[in-house]
Amino acid sequence: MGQVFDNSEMELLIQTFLGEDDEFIEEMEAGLLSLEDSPDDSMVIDQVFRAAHSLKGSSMAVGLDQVGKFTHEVEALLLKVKEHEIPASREVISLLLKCNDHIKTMIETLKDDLKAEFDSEDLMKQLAKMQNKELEVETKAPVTGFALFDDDEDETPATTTPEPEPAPMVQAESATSDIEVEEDKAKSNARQQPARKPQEQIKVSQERIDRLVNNIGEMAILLTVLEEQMYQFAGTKLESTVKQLYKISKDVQDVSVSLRMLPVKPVFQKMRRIVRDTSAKLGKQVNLEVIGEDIEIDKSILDLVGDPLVHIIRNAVDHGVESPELRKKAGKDEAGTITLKACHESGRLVFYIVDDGGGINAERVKEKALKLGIIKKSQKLSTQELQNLIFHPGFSTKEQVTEVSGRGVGMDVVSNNIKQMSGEIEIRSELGSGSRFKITLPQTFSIIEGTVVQSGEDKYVVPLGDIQESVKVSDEEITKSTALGEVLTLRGERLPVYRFEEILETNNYEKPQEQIALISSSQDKSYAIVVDEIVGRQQVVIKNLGQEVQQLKEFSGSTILGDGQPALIIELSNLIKRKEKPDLDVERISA
Amino acid sequence: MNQQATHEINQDIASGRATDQDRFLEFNLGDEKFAVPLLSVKEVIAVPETTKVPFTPDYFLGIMNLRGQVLSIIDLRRRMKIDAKDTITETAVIIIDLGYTHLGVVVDSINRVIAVGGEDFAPPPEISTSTTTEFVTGCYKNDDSLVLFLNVDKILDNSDKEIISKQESEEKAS
Repeated sequence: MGQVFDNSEMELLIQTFLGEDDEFIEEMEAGLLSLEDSPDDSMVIDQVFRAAHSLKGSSMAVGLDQVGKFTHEVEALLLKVKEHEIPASREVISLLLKCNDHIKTMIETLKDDLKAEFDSEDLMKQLAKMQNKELEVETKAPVTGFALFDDDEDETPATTTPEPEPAPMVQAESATSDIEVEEDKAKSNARQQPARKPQEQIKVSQERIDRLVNNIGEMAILLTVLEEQMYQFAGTKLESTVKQLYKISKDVQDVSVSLRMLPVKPVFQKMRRIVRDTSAKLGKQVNLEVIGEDIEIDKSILDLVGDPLVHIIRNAVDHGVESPELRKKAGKDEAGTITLKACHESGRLVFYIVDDGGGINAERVKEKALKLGIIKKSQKLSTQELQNLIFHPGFSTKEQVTEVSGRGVGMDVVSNNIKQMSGEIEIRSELGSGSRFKITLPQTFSIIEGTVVQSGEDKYVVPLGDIQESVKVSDEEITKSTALGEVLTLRGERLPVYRFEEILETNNYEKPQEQIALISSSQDKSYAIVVDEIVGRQQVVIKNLGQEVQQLKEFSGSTILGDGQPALIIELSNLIKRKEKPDLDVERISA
Repeated sequence: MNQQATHEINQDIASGRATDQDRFLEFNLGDEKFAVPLLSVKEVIAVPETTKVPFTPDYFLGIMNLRGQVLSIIDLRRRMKIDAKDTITETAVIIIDLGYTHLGVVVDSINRVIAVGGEDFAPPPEISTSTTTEFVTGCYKNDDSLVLFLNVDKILDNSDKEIISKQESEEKAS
């Protein structure tokens, strides 16, 4: 408890700077990547230079000398690029990107440990070498006409807020024409005028936003209750006031939810880098086209969607896009294209990853799957079903990947990650012309559509997506068998029956005559869950459970119902694991 | 627990945060007196309605809605294997801040806030057999009756949690 406070203030200052530095690093990376596409774009060079300069300034200011010194060297090289003493060659950009990574690592490490030491020797040497070597070779005189930007340095104090558009040139695919360059110059010139007013931003911790959103969600629930009670006061002033309040609260709720929304841009930025590095390593030419990077998504989804995307994109470069020779032979453009798109489709968030590579050879997938025993010879599978086998956990082992001209590494991991986010992944592939992955995700994790069910005295919430249908059942319709337990026959299909009260161990009460069976399935097996009744269907705000109950995998969280009482949200597939039932596969029964 | 007393205690908690270092909230479990640091106490409330959580040990009463936050409630009497007094009388819930989570703790009654200087603090009596000793960090000398200081972190100890899940799996196996 008894902390020393003198140091902590300085520490706070440093942490603030470390937080800001992230943006400079991102800006620098974005700039470097677009510089690769258009190496002569002086505006982009300028942007990178400014980011590096700010980085140096701020780290020096708070006494992070290691970062400062290193960035100084980076800045020195950038200066030479800016002054056209060194061309922005691939080699130079690669080194600069590497340096940027190093700075990123340093900053990240410093966030946790301010006393961390770093070894920058190697990169420093490379930087120095690059500066001198190129100097000797490069004899081109600096071009005049770029004097416009020469005084930039002075105009960029260490505390400048980052540009509102950190990567203005990111989309620049083809070389920019002269006219466009002129325009850009004018634009960047204009940006330095005092007329430019960036929107002021405030950094707020996520915890505070979460608290706000949760409380507002609660308020909305209470207002619904209040509105119900208003019937007694119909026609009074009170009624109209409550109605107004209700309207405003809806508005406030929308705004509060949007606070957690962030553009997918930084994640897409990362993909650019991955495509660049992976394709360079493999000697392939791959362009990444990005669509919809301004789409805003919930922060918690943004944090989780990166890994699966990296995986799919890396696979697309590695196994989707063919080598330049192969592509030429097939009559395609030597450079492959991968398109990454984010958009909203019918209330869900959708990502597309499309490549124009070789596609998945369904026949070879089939061969492999047969060999691995994933499918049986007798099974008849469509091309689509065969392609889906790449998500099968047994399918992905290293050596298959090279053999199956398609993808395979850890695709089951990708598929699992997405399922955990209550999403879906789908693949369409055409042999010879490419593949398309479609990832569908919920808009937010904080609100779900739920079915409120009653079992005994207790109410539980089952996510609506988990229930395929619900049917009324009486005891007579459920067949009891000593060997198989209870079985419900529905349209000729035999479903194992799980009784809610039995699994939840609360079975000492009077059951109603007629109950409701919720039909659900996990891992391609359907089953029936019997509850007393369905109370209703509503949107529920998800509340995390405390750590002490979080390890109960049967519940994914909790929520507060309209009556103010908390209720648990059921994770059906985990819940039924508590009571394993025999496999009701038809073959087995007849055998 | 009557409203007035709850209110006063909550006032006490809300005011003078900075000087709380040596103040403790004293309460009863059965006939025994205990105290927890006032700094770890968020507030005191009447026993709320709870929602049962299946697959939890018996001292885990369930979850409750505290102004939109869902938190767990445990019965400290059962946790420490102390016989509950008449359950109808003055039971109250202390909301304790464990740092990583908030936890509601059911006790028999809230007594008072006591100020304890270093010299009033005695090491816990060495009785290794009692189940309660693992929670106790010391006791209060300046009183006729025995007041034990509780280590709030121990209420939900990690090793405890392991034991709970182990017990559960054993039960399942048998």
